[in-house]
Amino acid sequence: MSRLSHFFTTSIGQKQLMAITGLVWVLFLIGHLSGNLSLLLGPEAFNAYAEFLSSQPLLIPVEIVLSIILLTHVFLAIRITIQNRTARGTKYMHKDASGANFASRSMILTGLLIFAFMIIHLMNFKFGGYEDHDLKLYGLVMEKFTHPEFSLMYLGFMLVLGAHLVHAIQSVFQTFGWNHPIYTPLIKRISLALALILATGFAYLPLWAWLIKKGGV
Amino acid sequence: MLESHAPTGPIDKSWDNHRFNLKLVNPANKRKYSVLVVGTGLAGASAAASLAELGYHVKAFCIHDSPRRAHSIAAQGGINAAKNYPNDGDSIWRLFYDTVKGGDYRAREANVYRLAQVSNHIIDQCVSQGVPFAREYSGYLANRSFGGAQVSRTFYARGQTGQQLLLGAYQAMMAQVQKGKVELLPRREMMDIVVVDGAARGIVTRNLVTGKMERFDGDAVVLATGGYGNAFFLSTNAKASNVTAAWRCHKRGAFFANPCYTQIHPTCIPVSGSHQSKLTLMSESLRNDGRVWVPKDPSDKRAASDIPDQDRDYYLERRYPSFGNLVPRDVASRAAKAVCDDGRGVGNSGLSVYLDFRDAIKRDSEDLIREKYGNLFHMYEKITGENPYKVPMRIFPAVHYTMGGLWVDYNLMSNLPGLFVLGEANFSDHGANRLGASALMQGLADGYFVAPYTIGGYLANTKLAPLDTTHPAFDDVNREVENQTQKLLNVDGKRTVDDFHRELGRLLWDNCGMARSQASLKKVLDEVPALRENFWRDVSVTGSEGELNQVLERAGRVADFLEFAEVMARDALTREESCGGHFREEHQTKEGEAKRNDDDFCHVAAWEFKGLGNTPTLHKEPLTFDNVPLTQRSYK
Amino acid sequence: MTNGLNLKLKIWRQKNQSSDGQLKDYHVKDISPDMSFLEMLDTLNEELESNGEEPVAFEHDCREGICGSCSMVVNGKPHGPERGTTVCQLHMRRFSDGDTLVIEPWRAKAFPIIKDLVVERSAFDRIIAAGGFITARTGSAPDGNAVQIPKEHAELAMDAAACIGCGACVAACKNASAMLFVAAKVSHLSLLPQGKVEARKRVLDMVKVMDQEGFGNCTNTQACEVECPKEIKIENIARLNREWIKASAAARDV
Repeated sequence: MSRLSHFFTTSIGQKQLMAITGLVWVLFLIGHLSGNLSLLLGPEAFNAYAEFLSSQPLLIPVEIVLSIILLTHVFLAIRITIQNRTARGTKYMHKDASGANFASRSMILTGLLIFAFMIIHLMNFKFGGYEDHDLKLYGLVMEKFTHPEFSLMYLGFMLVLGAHLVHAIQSVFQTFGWNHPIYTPLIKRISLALALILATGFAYLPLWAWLIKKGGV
Repeated sequence: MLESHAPTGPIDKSWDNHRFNLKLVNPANKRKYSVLVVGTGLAGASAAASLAELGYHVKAFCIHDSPRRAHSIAAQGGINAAKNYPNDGDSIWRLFYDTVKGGDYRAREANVYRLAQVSNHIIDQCVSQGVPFAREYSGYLANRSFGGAQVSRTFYARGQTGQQLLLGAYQAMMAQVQKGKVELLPRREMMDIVVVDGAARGIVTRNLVTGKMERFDGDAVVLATGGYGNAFFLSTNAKASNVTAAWRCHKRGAFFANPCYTQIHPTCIPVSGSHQSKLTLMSESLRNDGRVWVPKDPSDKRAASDIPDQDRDYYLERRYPSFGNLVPRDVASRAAKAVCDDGRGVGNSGLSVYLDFRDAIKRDSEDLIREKYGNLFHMYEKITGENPYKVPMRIFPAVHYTMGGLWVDYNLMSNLPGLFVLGEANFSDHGANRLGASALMQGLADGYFVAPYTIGGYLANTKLAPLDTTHPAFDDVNREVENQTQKLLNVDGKRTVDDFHRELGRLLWDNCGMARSQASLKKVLDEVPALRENFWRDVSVTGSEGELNQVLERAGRVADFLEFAEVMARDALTREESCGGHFREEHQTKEGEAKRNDDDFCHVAAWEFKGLGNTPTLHKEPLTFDNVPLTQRSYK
Repeated sequence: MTNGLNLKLKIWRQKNQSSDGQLKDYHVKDISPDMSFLEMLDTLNEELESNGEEPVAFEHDCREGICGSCSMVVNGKPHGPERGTTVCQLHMRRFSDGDTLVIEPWRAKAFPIIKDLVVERSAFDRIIAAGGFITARTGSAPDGNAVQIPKEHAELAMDAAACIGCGACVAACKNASAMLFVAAKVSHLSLLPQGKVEARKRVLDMVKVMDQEGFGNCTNTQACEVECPKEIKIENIARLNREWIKASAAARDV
């Protein structure tokens, strides 16, 4: 336990925990997107995938663990932000970002937006009553996304997710101590690509449902 | 009166014998002694760390916010040692010989020999501390030849050797701070020394944040407060470098030795205008590859690159064929002055000469030159806006180092018992001229390897009455210091401190600089008292005493420079010869080289303060040269 | 002078640590482009002094970019707009006639303002005291060439050791984190064989004191690297993280 508190109470320890918890969720996102792409294959495939997931006996424990990890990430983010604001004290009269990009400066903002989005997302789908729908989850998804404002909201949030991930993924490597003049630029490019794939992948689904399939089956 | 305590007998055994003869302090008693170390540059920080490691209780004072900022940090080129790693014929004896000769036979032989001896330990010590010296691909330490030496004995850490050595000493000291063995007192300026029963027993400092006077007692005081080059206003010294601590000790009885020995460094960036606040040194290592020249014809106003070789005068190579561009600093500086006096100086002011890398770049490629000197070239470009890879650098001499300082014996103790003086603040090892890469060596030798022994010897041998800071002597000193501060604040004049300082600097540079004459020195002696009087009548010191007050700090230092300048000029006037950094126009050969007078001036001139306005008393410590025969230096 | 610059300065004035500060307007005229930034401030100060006004307090010493004393933020940038340059080596040719310059002190809770542009940076000294050294008792060192050090390691160590401890990294970081400073010292020492003996204790102790001093957390924004006058790379922060992870995983007492 003392080792855990060592990580929780030191600056670099918190940083490691942020990276590890974040990384778990990046992996989750990769899995989630791969699964979600079955939407493109039609109701049978998608609903079978959803059915497969919900029938797993470990689903609940995994969900609990993921939630704890997420809450840790959020809790630490908030605490770090407060610590960091305190560390600055008086703000500069004349501000200049000193080379730091928007994504890296806005992690707390994009992070909190993503957290809010996750609640909305769960309310709409996981707890959106898809069992009652004719076409189960597939039907619910297609129906929701035909509402332009709903789809647009999703697009907006995916933009935010992209911004968060652009900084987050490559940052993990730095935090774990992997920085090398040759590999790091490569890692940054791969991170950027992964962030783009995840954000556009997730953004493509509502667009597809709304504009291409027009909610149809 | 002036007993050097230098051991006699074979010089190569003298330090060993002397150490054996020094009494030891019982290990259990060491913690009962407290030593006040003023200044945390190479000498101060290394002494503080080493003394604390031995078990003494140390208080370390510095005027900066952190001890790491002492001006040792700015030394670029390197540090000498007689390791002979390159197998090119170096030895302790040769380093000793070169240093005595380079100092123009005005240093104490035994001190110099000891310096050469411990030089090797310094390198070992610093490597162990993690000083990242340059290395060969083999992983062994790299060396280069430096400033006139014909062997490669200089160890370096890029162009930041001073920084790395200082950080090593600073870190060693901070480790002792953590252990509670060194008490660190930053942002304190030593205002005066407290002498009780003839021995140095404490200091009074001003807390530069609160303005409060603070008293500290100790069993010995170590002064490692650097040189007095800033008397000239423009120098390569840091802005805060000053003579105050040494000067106040002098006024309390410590002798000031050889104040006329100032080193003018040949490779500095020329003055760009009246706004100039300090001068920047370009490491002398540049002369290894750069060639110094001016146009042959004073009326030649072509751009440097348009002047063909036959119209260039590579005057150092011409005048000194065997040493060429690598002649010692004093020789190179005077040669630059001579060509500028001749009207052949370049640049807008006519007060600079070219240092040209064209041929080196052609020979070795720009990349190799960049690898060697990249940071220096970069710095030059930043300051001047000119690219030295394309156009030759322009350089001019500037005040850089002061060989003179408080007189000390072989134990580095001044004539005030208990006052030890280390590094540039003492006069000891460089004679009339310091060789390149020897200042770092001396500072660390004093701090790591000499003072820790000799201070122990003093303490073991001396019975000091217990006292604390309530002693009346502290009250007196404290009052005097406060009075002076009040006096400065009460002048309420119109002229700024810097304005006075600039005027003093100009006076000294023109009359007591690279070349001195009886007339010019008399002029200084005439004008300084008047300037000083003016200062005390018309200086503007704003703010108050009880706060951070940088004007007050500067004013106190300039007030001391205004007193010190007189003894510098008087020493120069009295020394009727030319030697090393001291060049008297009356004493030169037909070719314009310095002419020593060993019959009358082969001595250390140590001045005793006799009150302001009174002529100080001269004490002479004769110098004998049993091991390095006296010869006229020749770099032809 | 015909090509002199006229500038409007907005400078942070604060009497002492406990009082409030504010920006005050000043004008300087006919500033030579060859002046350094600090010489420009000298000019202003001399003018103030001759009028009996209190000059602007700022820290400076070597004026050649190595002592790390100078510490001011010019238009939001620590040490001003030029990369790899301390403010003492910044020259006025970098600015244009009519410019407005906002000059502020470093701002960090761990660097309290003492007066005007002067801040207290002793927190850095305490971090070094906690472990930023290699214990090598004077006199105990073996021969300098006893241990070979690969040139590459020596060079990397030197890159990190070039830190001047000015605190620009803290000033630039949106979190006022001191990680680059700590990383530079940890890297310098841990890259050398001599430094490996104490490596674990060093990194844990230094990070602990860094946290206690009230610096913020590193969030990998890289602002420090951009503003560092000695261009120290965040590669060193990665090395610090690595050293810390190794030490934390192996330590027996945490």
